[in-house]
Amino acid sequence: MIANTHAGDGGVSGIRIGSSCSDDPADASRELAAGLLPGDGGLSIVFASSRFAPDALAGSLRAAFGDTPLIGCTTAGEIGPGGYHEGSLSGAHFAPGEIDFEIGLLEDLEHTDARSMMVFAQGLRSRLQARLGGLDNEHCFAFMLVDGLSSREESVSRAFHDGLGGIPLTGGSAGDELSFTDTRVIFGGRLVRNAAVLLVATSRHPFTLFKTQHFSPSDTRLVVTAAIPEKRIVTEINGCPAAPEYARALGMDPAALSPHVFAAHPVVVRIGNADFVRSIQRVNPDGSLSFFCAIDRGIVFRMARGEDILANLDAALIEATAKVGEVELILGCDCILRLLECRARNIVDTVGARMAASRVVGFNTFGEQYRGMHINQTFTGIAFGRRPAAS
Amino acid sequence: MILNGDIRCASDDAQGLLEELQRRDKIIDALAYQVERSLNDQGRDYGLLQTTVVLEDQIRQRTEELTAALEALGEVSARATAARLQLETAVENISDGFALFDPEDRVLLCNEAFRQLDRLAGDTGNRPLGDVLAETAGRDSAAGRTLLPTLRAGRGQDGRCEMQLPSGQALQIREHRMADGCLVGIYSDVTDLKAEEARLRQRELAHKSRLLQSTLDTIDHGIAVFDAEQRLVAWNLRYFELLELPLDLAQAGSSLDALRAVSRTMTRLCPPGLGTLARISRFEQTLPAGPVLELARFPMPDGGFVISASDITSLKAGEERIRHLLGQQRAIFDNAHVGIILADDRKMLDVNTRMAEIFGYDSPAEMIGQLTEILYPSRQDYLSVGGRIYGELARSGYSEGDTCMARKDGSPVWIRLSGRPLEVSTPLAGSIWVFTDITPQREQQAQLELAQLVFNHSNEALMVTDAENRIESINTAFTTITGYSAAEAVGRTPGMLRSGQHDADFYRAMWETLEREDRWEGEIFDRHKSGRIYPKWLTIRVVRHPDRRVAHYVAAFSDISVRKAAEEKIQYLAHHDALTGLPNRVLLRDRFEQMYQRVSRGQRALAMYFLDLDHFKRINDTLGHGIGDELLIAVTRRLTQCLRRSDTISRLGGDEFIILVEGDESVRFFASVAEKICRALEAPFELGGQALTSTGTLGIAVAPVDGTDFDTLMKKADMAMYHAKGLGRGAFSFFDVGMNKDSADRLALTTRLRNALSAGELRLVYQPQFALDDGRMTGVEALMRWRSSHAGEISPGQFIPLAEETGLIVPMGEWALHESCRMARNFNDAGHPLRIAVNVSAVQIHKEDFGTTLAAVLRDTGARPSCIELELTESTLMKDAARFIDLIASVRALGISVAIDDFGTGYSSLAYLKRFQVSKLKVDRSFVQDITDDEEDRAIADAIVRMGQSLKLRVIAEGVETRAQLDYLTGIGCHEAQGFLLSRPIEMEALQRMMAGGTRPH
Repeated sequence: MIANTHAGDGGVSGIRIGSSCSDDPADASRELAAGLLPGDGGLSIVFASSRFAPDALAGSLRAAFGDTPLIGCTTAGEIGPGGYHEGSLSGAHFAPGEIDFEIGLLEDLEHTDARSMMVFAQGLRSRLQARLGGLDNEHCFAFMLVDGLSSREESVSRAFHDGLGGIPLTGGSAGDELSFTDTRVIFGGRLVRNAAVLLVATSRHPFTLFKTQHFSPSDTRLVVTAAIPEKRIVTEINGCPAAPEYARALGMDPAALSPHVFAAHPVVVRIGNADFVRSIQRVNPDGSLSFFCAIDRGIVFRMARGEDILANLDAALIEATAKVGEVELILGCDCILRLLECRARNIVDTVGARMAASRVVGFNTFGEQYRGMHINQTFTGIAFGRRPAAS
Repeated sequence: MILNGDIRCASDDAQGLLEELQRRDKIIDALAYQVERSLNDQGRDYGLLQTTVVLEDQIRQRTEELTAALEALGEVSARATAARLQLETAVENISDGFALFDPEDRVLLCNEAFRQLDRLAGDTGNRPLGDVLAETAGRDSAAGRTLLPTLRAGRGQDGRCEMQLPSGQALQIREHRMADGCLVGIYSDVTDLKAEEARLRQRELAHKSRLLQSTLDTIDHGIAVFDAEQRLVAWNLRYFELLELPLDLAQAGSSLDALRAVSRTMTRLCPPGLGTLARISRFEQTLPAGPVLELARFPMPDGGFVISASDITSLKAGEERIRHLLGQQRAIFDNAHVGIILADDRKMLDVNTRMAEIFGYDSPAEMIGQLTEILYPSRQDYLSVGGRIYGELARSGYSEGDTCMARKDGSPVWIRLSGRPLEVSTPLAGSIWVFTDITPQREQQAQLELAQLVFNHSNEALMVTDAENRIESINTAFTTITGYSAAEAVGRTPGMLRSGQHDADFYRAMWETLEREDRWEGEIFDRHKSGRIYPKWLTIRVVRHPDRRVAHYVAAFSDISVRKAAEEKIQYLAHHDALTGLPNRVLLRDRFEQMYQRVSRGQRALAMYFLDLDHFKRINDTLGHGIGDELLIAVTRRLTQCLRRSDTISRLGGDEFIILVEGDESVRFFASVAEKICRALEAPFELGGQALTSTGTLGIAVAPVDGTDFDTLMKKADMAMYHAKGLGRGAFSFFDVGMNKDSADRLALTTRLRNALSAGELRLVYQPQFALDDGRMTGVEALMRWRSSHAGEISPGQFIPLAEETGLIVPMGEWALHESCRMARNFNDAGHPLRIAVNVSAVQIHKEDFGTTLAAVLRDTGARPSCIELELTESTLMKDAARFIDLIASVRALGISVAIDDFGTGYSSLAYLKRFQVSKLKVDRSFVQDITDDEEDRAIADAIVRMGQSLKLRVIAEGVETRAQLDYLTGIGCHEAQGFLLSRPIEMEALQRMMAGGTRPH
């Protein structure tokens, strides 16, 4: 099904969004491409459900989008003109006049050091700068998508941030619903594991990068007394096995722990003067907890309290609108746990409608990146305004 | 709390607690681990997050700061831009040309006006102005000669210069080179300005010209100004008036010649041929009583000349008046009787005649022009006095004081100098000084001061009193001599010094002499303030007013105590032996005459004793004169002790002494004296650590028996002495053989009496006393009798006096007392108590221990005191009444009664009589004897009896020998009687028998 929304003013040029609910990769790809109308040399971004078989999807996308520069990733859910979807494709396309860009794929994240990552990002930036004969950080942005099971998001986001030399960066981690097995980024006609995609661009449109989350710390403190940081596994909390201790803190039976619970009860760390949500991915058989982000022995969590997610999202969207004027597109990365919470509260449609109303095109992530930080249970996005910026 | 306060086990679960502790340990360890981590540890993803957060924070902060700074900068920049814009607008709007050049003279900034100028100056393009101007100057050679150098020189100086532009306009250039090398210049077109200036000058000139003319017309002087061609160019009507010139010539261009033609005055003033530069001035009086004109001609720089004319008539009259006044003033000045000078800066500008007189100069002219220094004795004085007087002028506008100055010949002159400045603010410039010669006064003053000095320091006391004899002034010596200070003396009369030694006659005589002769001189005793009397030699002189009234009394005196003392000493030395202080022969002779006169008047005798010390010569030779002198002094002392004060002891010289003794005619007395002397000298002398014996031998001559004049007596005494020496040393001899015999007898008796007591030759007899009322015997009087083994009975009249003289009376009296007490005791014991009255002599009671002796006797004998009565003669008692009160009281205290014997013969003090506590009065026999015949004796006896009655005293009459006497006495109430009539004194045995037998004696 094509959920096609209006193209930008002026007809063919502008920013176009679309989605397809077909479960056949080829059909879905064709449908999406029909909505986005790539092929004019602009940039396409696609968010694909992990239900699609990767190889099949790769071929379909290649066929549908041809050699249009294409970036994207697998999702834990899609966001498009119809709000929240699953098993679908959603995407956006920037006509050439709207954007000047460079894109790149960084593979084998596991074995890539921070310096190389930084150089990679720097390279993209330089190419763009060279082409445009001078870059103004104020008018540039960067967007990244990274394998959500790589456990490398902190390194990647920091390295890209450093390499981009002040160009604001945001993005999300590719997901696979709640399987936690196979997450991939899309680059050109390829779906790649253990990789990251980076977009560096400048646009005529006014834009702003933002993030929002709706948790505040409670008084309950938890200390990580044993962990495997490289695997983002917390083995002990408060000197006791992690999961039971977490359950105990919640006053729940450890056996009742589920992603829904995690969604409702993340933890928050304080770094500097800011609070950062640390989301729990799953309970491991040995009673340890895997996190969606970096953790370390000795860090202090606080149990988090959730405010009103909808009101929070509204506030963010309104603010973004205020900054850029009428919104043309918001590239959004929305943590899977937020979706789960909405589900638990039965407000998926409401929230989805909000998203659609703000022309959000994005996906549910296994983590979000914002200005070099890898964060959880957050909605990050780039909002693009309609009218071009004044000269 | 990190663990929310939970302890996960029971408190008694030891194992659980242990596990809990371990759990907590893990937490602590983990936290510690985290704390110790460095943020940048490699490979820590969490660390990355931390650092990113921190970095983000920092970047955000820096960005904010940067933004703020940029904003601020932007603001500043905007302001600067605005200011610059303002400046440019302002510059643009000034009408003068403004330009700013860089150091290379290129225009950095300029305004429209400047650009206009540039165009005027020629095409500038972008050339330095200097070049432009140079070009300008170059075109106009005249300007170039002057302006170009000026310009070059002036370029960049802070000055102005003006230059003419080719267009004919005037350009004023003001340029200033700044610190950074840039040049700022203002260029003004002043053409119009200059034209305006010229116009103003013209107007000014015209105005001045009008002013000049009106001035000329107003002044009283006549002025005429001629140019170099001798033509009138300016004038006033007054000129024509004064010189009586026709007014038709009062116009510009009139020639001098024309004026000369009508005025002789003009011709006289400016004769033809006068040089252009000549300066003339002259007076003209055309009419004798007419106005006087002063005319003058002055040359002017342009070759012309000015003539001025003024009417000076009143001026001249004024001058005349002033001259006259000055003349008067001068006369006053010159004829003043004080010296006057006008000084300026200490130079005498004008001096009057008197001044020259005072200072001995011939004339004022000699002094005028000189410094006032010539008036002072020394330069030092000139400077120091000058400082003082001019200082006074400056301070108070006036100076006055006395100074010693010097005449022309150097002699001193005292001047009272007073001065005033002409101008108070500048005293040194112009002052008038008045000099008054006060030398005579000063001399007078000096003399007075000298007199005062002499007065004060005179050795003699000086005292000046007024006519009322009140002390006006005294000198120091007065105080020294009298003890009174000026404060104490002044105002009082000399009477305060009176000693009281002189009687009224003395002072009266003094005053009379003063009145008569205006002076008095003599010795007078006055009293020192301390009360001491002192003699002084006083001279008083009277000072009278011209009208003979007394003005002052001037007294001078000196204390002659010392002189008098000296005189006395001389006198003394003339009359006394130096060694012993005894009168010498000179004085002795004098004394003798005095004493002899006295004794011959009183019909007494005067004995002269010639004493010669035995062995004196030998003592003197062997022991030396020192010891000899000491011996003489010791002898003198002993002699003085055993002689009366009225006796005279004198030393003739060597070892010879003369003693004069007054006495009654009895040889006995003189002999006893001689004995005393000999005995006194018998005792050895302790001299020089040795005991020396030096007895004396006496020769006695008695006046008037042996002679009446000094020399006769001395000769006889001397002969008597030699006779005595023949008798042996330490003896005496009368000249008169009879006297010798008497004395020898006396001596023998004395010796015998001495033994009498121890030999038991003494006994008591008793004379009974009877009461007159009942005839009973009241008691007995104990009387001493002496039966000498040699001479038989010796009467008491003989041996009692001798005993008293020799002091033997004391043991004898004691014996009598003892005996009487013993008898009384016996009688008492025998049952016949009897009161016994015992006579006590003066010698006895004078002894200190009389009371004790009495008590002792009572104790020893055991006699009852009431049986004892002491009889003391009235004369004895009253001789030392006060002393004997206590004695009698003590006697009474013992229980013994006391009777006064021989009452009526002594000098009784009735007051003492009362106090004596006596019991009985014994009427002396002398009154009883003639009681029947003599009225007076009767009266006395009567009085005594009455007194006795009044005083509660018993009265006993003694010496009753006739019945008539007894009857009378009984009649008047006499209590008791004693006498031969009643009973003669009876022996002890007789008394005993009587008492025992109870027979009454007849």
